[in-house]
Amino acid sequence: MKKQLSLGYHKLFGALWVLVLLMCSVTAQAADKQAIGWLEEVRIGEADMVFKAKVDTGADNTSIKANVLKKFSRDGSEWVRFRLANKSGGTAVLERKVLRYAKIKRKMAPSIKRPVVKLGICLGSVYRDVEINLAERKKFKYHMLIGRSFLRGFYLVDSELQYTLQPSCSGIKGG
Amino acid sequence: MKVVQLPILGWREWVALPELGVKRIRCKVDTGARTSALHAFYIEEFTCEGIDMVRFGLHPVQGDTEKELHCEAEVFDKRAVTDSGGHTETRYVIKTDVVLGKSIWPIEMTLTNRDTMRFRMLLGRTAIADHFLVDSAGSHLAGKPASKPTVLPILSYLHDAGEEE
Repeated sequence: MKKQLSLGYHKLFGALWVLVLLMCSVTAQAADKQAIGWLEEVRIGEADMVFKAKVDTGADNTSIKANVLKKFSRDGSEWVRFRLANKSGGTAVLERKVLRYAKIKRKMAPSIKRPVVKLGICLGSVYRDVEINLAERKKFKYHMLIGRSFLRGFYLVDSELQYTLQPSCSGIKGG
Repeated sequence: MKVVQLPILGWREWVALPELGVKRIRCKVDTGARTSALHAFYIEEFTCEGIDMVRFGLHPVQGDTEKELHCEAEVFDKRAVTDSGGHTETRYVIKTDVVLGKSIWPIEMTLTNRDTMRFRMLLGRTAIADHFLVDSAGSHLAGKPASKPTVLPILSYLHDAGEEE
């Protein structure tokens, strides 16, 4: 009986420790988030191109201006061929599997659907494969919008700052 | 380099607009928008003792078009604003106090018909620059708008070229 009781205490103590460690790691995570500006430069590794991106906490997801050239079928999946162009005159044609379609709600206009693909993005020294929707954005100043799903857990946004980071991801083509 | 870290807001927050009689309205904290915007389902201009004024109607509760608030404010400016769909319209701009958490400070806000959108208010970059950071992982981090808030220093508004949401 006594042994059982001490075992119980041991378990309780262990559980408390786990709780304390968990709380510490959550606090550390919050403190670890990097503050970035509302405009940042990112590099699309596969295209070896740098884009100016607006960091937009008002957007759910990330989007890039792209010309959809063709949709086709490969290995039973839908694929898309698209062209990216940045403001310094660089262009690249890429092919990606269409993961899904994102429904974009627009003010005073019918909603539209955009293909979502996976692209490797370098922001600062961090390279990540992220889901991006391909937008035929004509009227906008910035070719790329970085939304909350990209920022969540990694970054805080400082509306006072612009271009705080240089895209430099080591070991990545074009990084 | 900032020495003191600014307080952190979530991407959604509750605010009060005491000068407009709005006790509580949910807003989207939107670093992609330069100016803040308030949804008005009608706007009419009038003159009071030689001052240009606007009278407008608000549906302060998200998803509820029954509850109405009628507000009046001085016209601070008229501005061409391009929304996220790429459409440009001329909007009335008002200047009004906003209460967020324990702080109160004046912001510029455009009036627009946002009835089709989820949030009745957008809190844009110029309203929060120099005051707060935004965490896309959080919501309602500032808590309820305080009844006796502290005044934040008035900002000289930043002006980047052009308007964009």
